[in-house]
Amino acid sequence: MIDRRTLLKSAAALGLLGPTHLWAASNRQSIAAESADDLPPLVGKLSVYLGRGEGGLYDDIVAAIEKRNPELELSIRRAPSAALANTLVAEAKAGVSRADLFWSIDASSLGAVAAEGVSRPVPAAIRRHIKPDFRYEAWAAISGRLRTVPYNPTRLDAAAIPDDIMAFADTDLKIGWAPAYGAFQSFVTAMRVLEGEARTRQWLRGVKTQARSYAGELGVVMAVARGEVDLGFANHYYTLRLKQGKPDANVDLALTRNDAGSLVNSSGVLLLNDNPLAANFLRYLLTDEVQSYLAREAYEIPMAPGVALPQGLPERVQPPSLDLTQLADLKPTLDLLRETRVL
Amino acid sequence: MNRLPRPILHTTLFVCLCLGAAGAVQAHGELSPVDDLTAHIGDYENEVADMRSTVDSIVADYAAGEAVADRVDALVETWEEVEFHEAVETHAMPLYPSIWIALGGLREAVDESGADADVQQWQRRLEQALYEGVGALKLAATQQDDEADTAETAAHGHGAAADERPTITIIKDNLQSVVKTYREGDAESAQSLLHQTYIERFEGIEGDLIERDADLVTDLEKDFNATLPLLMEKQASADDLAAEVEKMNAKLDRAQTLLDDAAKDQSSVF
Repeated sequence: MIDRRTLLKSAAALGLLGPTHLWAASNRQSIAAESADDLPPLVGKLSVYLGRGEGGLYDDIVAAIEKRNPELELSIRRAPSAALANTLVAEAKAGVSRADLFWSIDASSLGAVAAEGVSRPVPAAIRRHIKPDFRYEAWAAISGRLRTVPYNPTRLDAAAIPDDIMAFADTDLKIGWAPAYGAFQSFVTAMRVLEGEARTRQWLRGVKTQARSYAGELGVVMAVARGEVDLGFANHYYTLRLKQGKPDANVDLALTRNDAGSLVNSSGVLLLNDNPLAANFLRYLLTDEVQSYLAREAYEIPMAPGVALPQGLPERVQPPSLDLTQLADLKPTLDLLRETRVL
Repeated sequence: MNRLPRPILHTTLFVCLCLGAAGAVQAHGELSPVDDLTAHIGDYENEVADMRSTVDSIVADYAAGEAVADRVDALVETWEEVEFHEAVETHAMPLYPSIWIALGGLREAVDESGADADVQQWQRRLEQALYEGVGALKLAATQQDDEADTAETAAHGHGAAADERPTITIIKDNLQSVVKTYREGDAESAQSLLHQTYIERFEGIEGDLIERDADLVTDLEKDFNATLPLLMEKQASADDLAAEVEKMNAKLDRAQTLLDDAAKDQSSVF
């Protein structure tokens, strides 16, 4: 049994890097995703903290892994990612460790835990099965989601859409947004980190004069398709799902470049000890089968190379260079949204 | 301490209960060992009283110059073993880190020979966290009893166990609770439960629904985020609120049909 206090004291803080340069379906320096058929069977006890996400799909994946590995004794704790991150940090501070692995919907909660020095680096042999632009030492990216600008092509030519997110405040376009939505708040947080508070405040005030608010980002995309607004700000999958159900919906995707408007956030896994079972469980999440399932059923961007992207995803994406863990610092964003009366 | 600046630890007790209820079911449907809170509240109170007594004794002896580090370690072990621990972990999760934080703070203050005031500060935080946990469990017990009644009704009608209720059923039950809570005069809690139901339940199923009937999803989003909250803000009558919920129920029934279709079409992982 691990002496957790010794572990805690001796663990070095791990550096975290955000996505670096150009996102593309690049396979450079990568090894194709493994097949579950090639993995060792999972045998023994494993405790997983599972930050909720993607409806029940994560649960479906867990159930499928369990079914495939009948000798795996899995203990799952489910809760919002931020609550689990707080729990892990608190447990670590108290000198105990109850989880082997933390699988979270967002990178910021992973970063907050990793920053406490309680995790283990992702083994290089596993990192090789992740796309190079999304390889981090401290955590393993599993699947991504992209900020986009859904627009109505019957009201707007693609060429008229700025490729700089900050420029939207200087247009007369009718814009849909969902300020109460978590994904939108992460996007504004990214803008605050990248552009500074003053510019973000100015942007919020500028866009507010031409914006219409919706409860959720599906509502934004639907409003774009109906022509209530010219364009909006939303995660990519709402548009892809809508187009899947209604191929003739009047909505297409535009992207900004190297700024918060093209942020790629990621779900991921943190290994919390040296239990090889945890590492092998992570390998299952990066298999071709699981990655394809996430892309197929949730329209998430697979992080393993060689796995087909969700149908309709823009091919050329240029996300900003950003430490995703900084997205955890939400309070100043909420303050800003309230100060500008956007919220 | 680098805590996440997310609102989750600052939510109301009511919200804690929503989260706790969601966590009451362990992996793949089996019931938590602490699935009858009402029967165990007295035990939890006794355990917390014992822990408080221990903490008081430790802090007093520390102030008198005694070495108490081993006793703090023993206190942590006690916390790990008591039934109260599992109950908080399962039914009042957002409060759970607070207890660990306070225990860790107490341990650190003692290990580093902190001033008496520092140690006493962690004593107060720990005792406060423990009693907040008891309070949360008492309220969770009430909700658990309500859910048991609902489950019994459901079992007679549909043969469904409480822990296996479809999400749509949970949403409909929560909406009934929203109306009931509002009718009892607690609009704030009703709003919290409504919002939590949207975030914790509806958002989880809208992905499949979008592909099949995006207009229905938009309509329900409007109900969750505009129609019902506005009715409550305008202090509409509980009957008016109930009438809107009835309309939502019809939409949710259609959503259930669509989800059943989606389940038939969903591919397998492996």
